[in-house]
Amino acid sequence: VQAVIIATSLDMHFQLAVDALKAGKHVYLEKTMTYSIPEALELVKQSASLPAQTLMVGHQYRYTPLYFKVKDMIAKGYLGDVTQIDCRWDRNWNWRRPVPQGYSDEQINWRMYKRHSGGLAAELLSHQMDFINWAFDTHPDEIMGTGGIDHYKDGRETFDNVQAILRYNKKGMIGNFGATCSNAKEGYIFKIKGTRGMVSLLPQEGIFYPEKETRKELETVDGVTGASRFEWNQDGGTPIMKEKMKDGTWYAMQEFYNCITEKKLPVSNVRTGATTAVCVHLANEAMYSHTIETWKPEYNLI
Amino acid sequence: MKRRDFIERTGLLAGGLLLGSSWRAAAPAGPVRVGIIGCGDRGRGILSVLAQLKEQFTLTAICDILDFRLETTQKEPSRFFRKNLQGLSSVTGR
Repeated sequence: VQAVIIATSLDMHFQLAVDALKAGKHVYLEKTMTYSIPEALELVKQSASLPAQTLMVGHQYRYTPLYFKVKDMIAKGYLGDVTQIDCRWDRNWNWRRPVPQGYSDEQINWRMYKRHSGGLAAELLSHQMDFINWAFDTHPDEIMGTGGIDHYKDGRETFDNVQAILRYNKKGMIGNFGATCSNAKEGYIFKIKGTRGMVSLLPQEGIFYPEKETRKELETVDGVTGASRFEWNQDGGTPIMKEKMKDGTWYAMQEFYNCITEKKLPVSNVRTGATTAVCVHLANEAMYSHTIETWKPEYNLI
Repeated sequence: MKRRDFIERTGLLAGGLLLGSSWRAAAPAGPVRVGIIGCGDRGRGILSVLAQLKEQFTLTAICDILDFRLETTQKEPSRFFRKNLQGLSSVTGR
């Protein structure tokens, strides 16, 4: 075995990743990278001492060409000054798997137990938090949160309804990250809102909605060439990619192979993974302890 | 200094330098031999993607602490990988 894929419950990530690295393996480690902040910082050190081995973190949506394109659009100013980010990842079911005879609920439904899982924030919202850190080359400075076991009062420990507000001082942005197990209408929402336009993302599709003035400009430029470059849909948006993307994991596995064989640092690496793990833990701390969490200098890894 | 001594010493020196630098391990020839630790929904989802990337990956081991997951995983459409496949039911038993 030259490489391992670690897709266990969150509480096992750190030890397995360290053991695999020490055994000389390349590692693809599922998100969230680690269960705790100290583990995240320690894994950064361990990985740095073994630079010959790839350690890639499984924030797979990041690897679709669509998400690279959106990062590029942000950098080139297509969105103008971004001040608001709206993210949701909702469903309407209890988030439980059936427990086969002879096994315990804790073994199968580890996501319900605090000692194994970071709940909805770690399992779902981490993807969007990770993208914002990466796309804007930043991290939050202040994190507020709330949540509860509001519908599925079935003995679970992790919240079935969560909301976190992340304040990004350097970029002047507010990020709203929420998930519920009790309504599926909107499902996945990821909207990045700026003075010149908004991007609305699904895992495999994205739409750009220019603001009024931006749209006029784009159409004027268009008029010069005489070509109809932009086609607007009924609510004023234009698709960012011509075709629907494959599942993010497909691109992520290609990247894992390329990083191993070409000795490249993964785009989603131990440092970006640790940064996102810190965001998740601070969000959970804010939700469960009713505190406002602040970023500390020792979390600055990127 | 004898030639052999020289080579041995410089060889050691080079080894030391390489270890201390950011030089990375030699690229594997052919597909990367990969093991999956954790064969729940996500592990098997990744497995189904690996099955589409035969040029890049060969699955050589699967691991889970729950036996029924190993049994399920061995029946997956990725069975063409299964030559020499080891199923380990304990993460410490590697």
